[in-house]
Amino acid sequence: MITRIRPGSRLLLCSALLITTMAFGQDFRIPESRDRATEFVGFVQPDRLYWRPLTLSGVQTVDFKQLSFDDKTGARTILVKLPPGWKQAPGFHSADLEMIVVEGGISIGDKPMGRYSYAYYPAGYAHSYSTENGATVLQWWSGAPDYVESETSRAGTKAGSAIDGLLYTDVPTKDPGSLPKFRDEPIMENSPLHVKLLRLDESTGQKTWIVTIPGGTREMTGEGNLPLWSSSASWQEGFLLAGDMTMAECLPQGQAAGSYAPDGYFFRPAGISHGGLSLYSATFAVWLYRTGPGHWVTYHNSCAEPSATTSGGPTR
Amino acid sequence: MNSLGWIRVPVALAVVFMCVTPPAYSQEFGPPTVDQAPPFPVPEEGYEVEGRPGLMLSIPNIKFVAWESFDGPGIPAGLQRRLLSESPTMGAVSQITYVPAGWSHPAGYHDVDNEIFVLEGDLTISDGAGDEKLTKYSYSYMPAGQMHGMKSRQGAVLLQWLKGKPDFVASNRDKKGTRAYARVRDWNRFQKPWYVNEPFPDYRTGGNFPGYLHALMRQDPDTGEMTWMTFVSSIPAPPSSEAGNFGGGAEVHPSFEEYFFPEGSRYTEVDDREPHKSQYRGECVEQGVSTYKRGTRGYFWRAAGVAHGTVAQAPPRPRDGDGNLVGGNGEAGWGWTLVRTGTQLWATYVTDCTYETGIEYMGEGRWRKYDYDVPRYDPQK
Repeated sequence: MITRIRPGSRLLLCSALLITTMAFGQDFRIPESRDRATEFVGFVQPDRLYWRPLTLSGVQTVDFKQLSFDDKTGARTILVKLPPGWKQAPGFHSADLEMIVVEGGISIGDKPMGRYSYAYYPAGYAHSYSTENGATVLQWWSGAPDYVESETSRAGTKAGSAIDGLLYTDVPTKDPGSLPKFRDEPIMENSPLHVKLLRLDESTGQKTWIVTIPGGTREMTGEGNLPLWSSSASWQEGFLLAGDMTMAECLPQGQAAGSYAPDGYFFRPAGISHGGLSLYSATFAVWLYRTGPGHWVTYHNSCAEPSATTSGGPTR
Repeated sequence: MNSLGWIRVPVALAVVFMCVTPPAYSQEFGPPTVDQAPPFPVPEEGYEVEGRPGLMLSIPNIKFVAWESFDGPGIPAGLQRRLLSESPTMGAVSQITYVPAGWSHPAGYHDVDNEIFVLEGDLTISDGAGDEKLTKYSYSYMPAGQMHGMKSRQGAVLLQWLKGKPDFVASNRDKKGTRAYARVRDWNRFQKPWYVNEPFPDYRTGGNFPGYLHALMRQDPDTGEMTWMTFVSSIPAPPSSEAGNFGGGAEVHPSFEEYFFPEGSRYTEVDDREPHKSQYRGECVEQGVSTYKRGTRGYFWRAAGVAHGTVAQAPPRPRDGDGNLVGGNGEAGWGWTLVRTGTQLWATYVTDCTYETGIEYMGEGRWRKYDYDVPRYDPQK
């Protein structure tokens, strides 16, 4: 490590963390983080972040890195490092938990699932998982993480929506036309993009999906002559599983471009345009995407969108 | 790392895609259908036009081939080349050509088809239709007899195919009978999208190879010969543990396949051109099942009818308690390739190397064409 925090400042940081932790009761959060509900959080390279302890009563403490946080709901996206031999006995949480293994592997219940396996547990749904050799798991919590040990699910849980383990190879690879309609423009026939739909909430349209994009072409999205900038009526979230990508964000303070390497992460609130002339991948890109309720994409010729420049926040 | 290199990516992808449920809607990239007899008569002759000695000629990296002066009747001096392969009967060559800065030649034509792919630098071709300015990853095809001038400002490195003994005839007009309609002008990789199917022709029933993207650079209007690109990528997910119906299937084409790997994540530093014995995956050649080193900036020429791919069903690889392969699932990989095929492209599948098909050079200008009636791949057996 090149930069070292002086012991004194570390103490300060720790006490700040402690105070915040106490203020939120059982919850933990990282005080310096942005509120993703209104601000773009992006170009995050997790290897530049510190590991911090995540302690939930009843489960062995693990390390985590916080990628984004929603002030109002307490929803957050975290990267969790499970040490070899770690396990969570059957139990449930007060928030929805969605997760994917980005390194190593886990067993869900007794079933070994391997790298890139996926699961979704609605609040109150009892589940267990463990790792033999260790794993790094990307977790999306819809609220503050907690844990209640229990063999059975809590009454009233939406058990039907649970996905209790999905192998990467179980998910068919399709063309983008297979996704629910998300824009007015027709999907390019014979598209070079390949998608895997991990989860679709039929009632809200929220979905979690993986898209593989070849690089090295001028219009790297392979979507023909669509305008350079696009925005969504829902929030969008991305985690780069492999490859590279450079793109620009059209933020209230102006255009900002940056590059993503594997594990690169962004959370883009609704209404913020992205793309731009710099949109490019030199190799290829495999994105893990989450798009919120009402995912609907519109295209724009320029970055100067009224919604982005006047209020500084989303209008849709 | 084993030496399967490039073959592994598509095979891994095939494994990834093979356990797919039937499509509920839209396009889905499924397993191959096994009734793969070509829907066209396989020509009785013509292969030898592009033939190379041996069933498999592999160069792990072009840097292992020494530069030499590129000379031929009438060819302006100053060019260097790495000769990758040469047809013993026709004199056709595949080569890396070095064009020095400021080099030029006056108007004239070659008596053979000339295909150029610019790897580095610039090249301007001037034919009757005007200047064609080629830059990195530009492709140009000039049929035999096409009059053109040529110059390079900052120098260039080309991948070049000449379909016959290289020569040059000074002239300010096309040779009589030139197939001017077959000309392909400045096709650039950075400008072209990738796709799976049309306009890339179907080369098997049940959809083209799952996971492979294509870009067609040239399809000869007379012979069906093609020059094209593929793009493939993968992430290190553990393979499906269910028995796949692709296992035990090796692919056979009625055409030779010639590959060059301009870019990708697999680079080969070892000059290991000899085949290695292989049990499950590789090429069916004289020595039995063999596999070769191949990587970025590598080249190979595989004779028509040589089965390649999975020649036997491998036992499931051991897994750790988390469901990953012991020793890891590998790394994310990507790459694109340049491919040339003669005649129409078609893929059929065989179960192992016990078949006789294709074309083989017997020496002294003699070629042997095997019967194409190969045993069909049947996943139920």
